Amino acid sequence: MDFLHQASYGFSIALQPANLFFCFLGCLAGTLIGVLPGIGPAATLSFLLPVTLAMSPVSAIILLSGIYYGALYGGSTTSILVNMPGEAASAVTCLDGYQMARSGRAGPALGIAAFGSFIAGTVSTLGLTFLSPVLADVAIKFGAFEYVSLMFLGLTILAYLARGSMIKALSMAVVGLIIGTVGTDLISGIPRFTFGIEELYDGVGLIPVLMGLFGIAEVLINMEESLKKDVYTTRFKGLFPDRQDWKDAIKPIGRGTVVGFLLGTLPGGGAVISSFVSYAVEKRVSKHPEKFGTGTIEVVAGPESANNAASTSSFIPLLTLGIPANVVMAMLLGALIIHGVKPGPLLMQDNPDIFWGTIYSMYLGNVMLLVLNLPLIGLWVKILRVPYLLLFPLILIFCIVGSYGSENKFMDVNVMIFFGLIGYLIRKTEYEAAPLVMAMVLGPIFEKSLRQALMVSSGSFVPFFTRPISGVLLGMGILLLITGALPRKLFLRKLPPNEV
Amino acid sequence: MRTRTRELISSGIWTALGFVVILGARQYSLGTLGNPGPGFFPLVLGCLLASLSGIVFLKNLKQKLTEQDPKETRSFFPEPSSAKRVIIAYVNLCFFRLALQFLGFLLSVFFFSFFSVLAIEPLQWRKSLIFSILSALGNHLLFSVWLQIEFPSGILGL
Repeated sequence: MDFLHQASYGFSIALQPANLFFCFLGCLAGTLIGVLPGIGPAATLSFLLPVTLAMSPVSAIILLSGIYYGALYGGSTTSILVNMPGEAASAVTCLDGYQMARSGRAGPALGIAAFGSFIAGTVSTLGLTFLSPVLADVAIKFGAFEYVSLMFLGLTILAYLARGSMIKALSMAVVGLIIGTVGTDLISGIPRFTFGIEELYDGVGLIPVLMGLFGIAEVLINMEESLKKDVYTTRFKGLFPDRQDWKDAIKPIGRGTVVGFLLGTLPGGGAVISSFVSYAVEKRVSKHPEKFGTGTIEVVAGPESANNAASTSSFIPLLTLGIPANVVMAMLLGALIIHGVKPGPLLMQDNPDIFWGTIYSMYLGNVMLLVLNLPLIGLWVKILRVPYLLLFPLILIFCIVGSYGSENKFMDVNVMIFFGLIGYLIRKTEYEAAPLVMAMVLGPIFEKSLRQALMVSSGSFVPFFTRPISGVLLGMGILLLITGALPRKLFLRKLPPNEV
Repeated sequence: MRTRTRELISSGIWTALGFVVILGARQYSLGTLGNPGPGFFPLVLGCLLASLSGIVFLKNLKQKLTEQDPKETRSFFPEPSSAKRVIIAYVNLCFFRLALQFLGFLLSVFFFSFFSVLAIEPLQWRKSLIFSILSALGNHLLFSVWLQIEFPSGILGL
């Protein structure tokens, strides 16, 4: 398919009234939860999943994607006006964005965050449009050896980028792989670790685990704080940055876009890390880094652009390899599977409507978000006043319905409630749930590929290193493991800890 | 509880889980390297988990106690009343799960919403009642009527 043909096909799907409506709905819901602190995109996607069951797969994915990138637009609003990150990925925006607001420049701060996000989101979508088909073509040639090495590299990057200790992140990944082995063995047909429970023969459901670890656990964490929060809002007027603002911000937006696009494609990379890295990059290239923290527009523009670029580029591994780069992508993978669609290198050929429809809906979504964010900011500020006391029972109800409704099985609800407690406890003991989920998704493919590869090589591990693509991927993974074990002197591991 | 004690307990549990998985994996055929059986991958994973968490456990065991370290004395909950709220929310959720099977969706949502609000803000009877009626009706319309999710009908057939 040439580009024009592709674009007209993509837009023809994305512009269908139903899809256009769901794209808008997704962006609206995304902005809403982005503005609300304490509810992240992963939790929202988990409890909105039941709503998508009645839709066509294309509409469902368009809606869920809109929520994800919409949340990152909305997150900056809360950071700038209330000095509280609406999303984890907007945490660094608090530093200078809130200072700008305090000195009466909330308008330009909000404006540059929205325009930066728009530019980054659109450029990143262009990257997605052109790179995905190329990557899918390469991935289609991948054999068992390449998949094993790729997943090994993916899991080590995930652990390497983890906020806390790498060894804890690795052990969570192993726990995820173990949960992935529950159910009927794909090769021999023998049920493993099912304890005679028939519902477990198909394995532990991804969606209930995700809802437990992210939806329920997040509510429990939020319940720790007193539910009455004083919301202080700043007054502002005029949302358009002036000429000087643009001059200061345009390069950071460009750099943020590149940083975000690259990091977004890495497993465990995503929006949060790219906003921190963009901040670090701006600090390094700036001529006046001492002014940071007093309301410089560069570090509002850069990180906000980076997180949006990352949210878009993280679709690349999902759409081309069938491997989710972060938890939200794992959730989308789960949604696709529920709708009977298998993401991977063949997605572009087998379901071009989903592949191109989703990508082209993002161009529209970014325009909608710009329109939603700028004139409606007053409305979003009001929404900040909805008390969490009324919000949390609704979130829990949505989680119960979501886990039950996908297959009408109480087993799924039990799994979700169980993993809710586990998710809460592992966060309290400074472990992370993300590597667990990602490994759980990858586990069955990883095991199958590993066993197939070993059968082909009659038990030898040499081909993993000698096959060119596999060897490079594996070598990079081992290098990361070694550098991760060394003292923390590396740039990435020195990032500010994320407390959100 | 000290942070170190928490670390010891959590890493101890993960190490133990590793050993349980090793024992469990031995029930299935291991196969050979050239033809791995269903027990092969779980065995490797069990060993990995036991050794990774074992390292964390031993690290914490060896660590010297320094009383000045603020990390050492940080409490498990940020506020004195945190534990109560977290437990109420979780227990309430478990009851909701049971109620859903026996009372049907409408009534379960009503009681769950009612007790969620009341438990966190006692004496707000009217507020809880209004919220729970709206919540029950709204959720019923959204999920049962519009999205047509089939819940167990419960004793009252609602």
